[in-house]
Amino acid sequence: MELIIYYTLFAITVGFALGVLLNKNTVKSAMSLVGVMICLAANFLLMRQEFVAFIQIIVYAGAIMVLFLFVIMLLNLRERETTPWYLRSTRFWGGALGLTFFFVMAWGLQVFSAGTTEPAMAAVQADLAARNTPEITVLSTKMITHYIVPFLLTSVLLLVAVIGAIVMARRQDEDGNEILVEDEVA
Amino acid sequence: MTTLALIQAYVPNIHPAHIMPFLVMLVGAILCLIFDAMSDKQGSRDLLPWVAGSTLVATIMSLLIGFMPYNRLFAEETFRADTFSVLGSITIMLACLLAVIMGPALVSRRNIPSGEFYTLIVFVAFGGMTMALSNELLTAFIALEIMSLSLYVLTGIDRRSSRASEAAFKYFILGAFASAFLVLGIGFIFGATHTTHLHEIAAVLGEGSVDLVNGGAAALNPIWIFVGFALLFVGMCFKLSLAPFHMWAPDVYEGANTPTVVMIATSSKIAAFALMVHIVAALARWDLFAEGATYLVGFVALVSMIWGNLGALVQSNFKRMMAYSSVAQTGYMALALMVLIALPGQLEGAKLAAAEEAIKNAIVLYLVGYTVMSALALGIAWLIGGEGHMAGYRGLVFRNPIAATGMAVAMFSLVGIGFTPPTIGFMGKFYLFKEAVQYNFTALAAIAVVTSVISAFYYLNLVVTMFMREETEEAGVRLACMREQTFRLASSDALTRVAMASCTALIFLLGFFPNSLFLIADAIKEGFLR
Amino acid sequence: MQEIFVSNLVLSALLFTIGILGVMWKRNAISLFMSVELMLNAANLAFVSFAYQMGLLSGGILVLFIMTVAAAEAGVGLAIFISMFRAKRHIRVDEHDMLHG
Repeated sequence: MELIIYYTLFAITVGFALGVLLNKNTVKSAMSLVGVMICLAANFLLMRQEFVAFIQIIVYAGAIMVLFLFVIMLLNLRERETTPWYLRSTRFWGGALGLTFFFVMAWGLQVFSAGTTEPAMAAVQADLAARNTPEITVLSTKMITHYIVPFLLTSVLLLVAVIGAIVMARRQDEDGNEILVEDEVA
Repeated sequence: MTTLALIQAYVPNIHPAHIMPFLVMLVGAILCLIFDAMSDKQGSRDLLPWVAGSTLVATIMSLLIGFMPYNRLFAEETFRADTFSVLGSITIMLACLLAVIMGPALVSRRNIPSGEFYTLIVFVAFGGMTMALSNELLTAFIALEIMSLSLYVLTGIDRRSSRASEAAFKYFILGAFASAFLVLGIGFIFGATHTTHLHEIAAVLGEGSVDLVNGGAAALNPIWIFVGFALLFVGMCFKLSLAPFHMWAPDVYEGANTPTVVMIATSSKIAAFALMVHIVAALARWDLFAEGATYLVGFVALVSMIWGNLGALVQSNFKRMMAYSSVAQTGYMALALMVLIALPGQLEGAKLAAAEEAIKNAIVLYLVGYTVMSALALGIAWLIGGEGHMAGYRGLVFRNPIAATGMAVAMFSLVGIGFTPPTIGFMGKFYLFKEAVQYNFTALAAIAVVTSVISAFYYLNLVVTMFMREETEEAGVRLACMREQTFRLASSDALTRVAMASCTALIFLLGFFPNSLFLIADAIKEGFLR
Repeated sequence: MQEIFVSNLVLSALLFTIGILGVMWKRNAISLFMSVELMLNAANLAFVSFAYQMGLLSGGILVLFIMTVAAAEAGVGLAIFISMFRAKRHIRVDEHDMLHG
């Protein structure tokens, strides 16, 4: 039963991903990307990773994609892809290279991952449940102890992103002077 | 167990003194921001470069004083400070300092938000230092993103120039593309070894098996590690602008403002190389890995040396030539990286450790040398306004003999081999090629020498243009025009001249006494505090 | 359920490849960047699958960090697109750019 659900999900995910690739309309391709993200969240749920699944929906589908759609609407993009890809030789060779990449990788992964044992996550989670510790507790504890440095660095990263986004997206008047918020309000 | 008990059972093991350089930088960056927000007149904003500059100098001091334990893991086993990473960090700081010095001239004329400009330069240095010091892949990745995001924004910060925004766009898209490769690579290495800490990865690979969570051990899966390293290496190749992943470099060098180009050419490469050397040192202990990775890295080094040098031959724009030249120069360093990977197959025990140390020293010498040389070339181009077409350099020696001489020194040093007095470029290449020959990569070393000879054509072509061609009206107009576009600021120019003079001095100093760099390294090892 | 693990690795490779193809084929900056996001999602899938198979709880944390990085990248990237749009009135990636090569 689980496998049937899984493979259906597999097919839908690939379909949405192809939608991102082949749609000529930017908004449609963004919606396909949302579909991929939601499918992946479902995939994570099948793997009993509830926390990551919900973060995936909240952060990716909820925040990042809204930002994308916002920018698409803001810039009012009506442009479509013009030349069919197969008419451009560079794209053709790029495609050939990409597909080779995929087949080599898929083959290697299939061959070398075959004969693996049962996934260990179920046992780990059962062990946590027996000790009456929620998984989220372990995750958060690890984050502020073992992974404290990346956690702190993330705050720096977000600061840089905020500064960068403000610098790049702030409006200018004709002479290139920054338009300040106070001026706009006044 | 309650949450509190869990946390109390495991207090983060970070000594505040150990992370002093990081704290200094962060405080400096925040100070820049606050200073910018508090000052409402242009006059007080002129002090901003001093705040940023003194932050960088203070960081260099704190690195030299030796707050960090030498060659031991610290801060939750996230960082390790060895000679390579500390010397690299200091060089990163110096390159960013040059950008700060060059900054005021750019900021005042092009109407660039100065607070953000200097803060982002400090963040470039912060990201680079964190990356060079990190012993953990996730930390390194986040540090890389801090550095890259700052560089993307700095590239496009001159928003009135559509060239700059296009360069920022290209740099951003290819950078994001590369970081996706990096993430997948880290994922596979994590899956194979169950950890992202480099010392634990090295231990797992040394044992040849990985402990499972529910008891027992499983054999390592070679394909995961290979795929992981290959993806990670491809991602780093983008950041290092190694061929065939260098296509962004000429465009970004041409479109970005020169202070940013100095950082892209030097800081980001030093940081990425330090990380690569650490990753390779952790992975190379596993003999299965060494065989495959030698070919991969060797191929990239070969293509970079050939493509970079041939590409530079046909360029007529100075910055584009510097971009291709940087591809080639990074290729020479990748050659040494390949030797580093291949070493464990040839040597053992104490000999291996000594040989690895020698190669790392050769790479760091070359990195420092490359930084000084390209900083000199780009800085002089910035001073005389020669960032555009190289026809502007015709007969420069008659108009500005000092600048022409400095540029000639940089070019001779970049060529490296041949009839020049010992420059840092010569010494760096000599050590790199010597290591390659010593460990039976004679063919590749020969190709490296041949491509260096090819590089002499375009480097010396510029020298010939400056010294032996008649000065034309057109050349003078070209430079004057560029100068007008890039405006001048006396104080910034004077400091830049001082920096250029010290770069020239360093080229000869390190050329005659390459070991003096390792005296600094020894001082770092001892530390003033230890 | 080891089938899920192995097929998920293949799915991850497939999504990653589609992302690469997107970066190579698309002409519109935002579509390009969406393909990059697809690649990052594929990487996340690989992380979670490995965590599931090996029983590594830290996999979830790594994914969380990568999502943060992706969000930061998206913020800056879209700001760069807006700035480029203002400068040039389009965000196509054409051969007729001022910078070529």
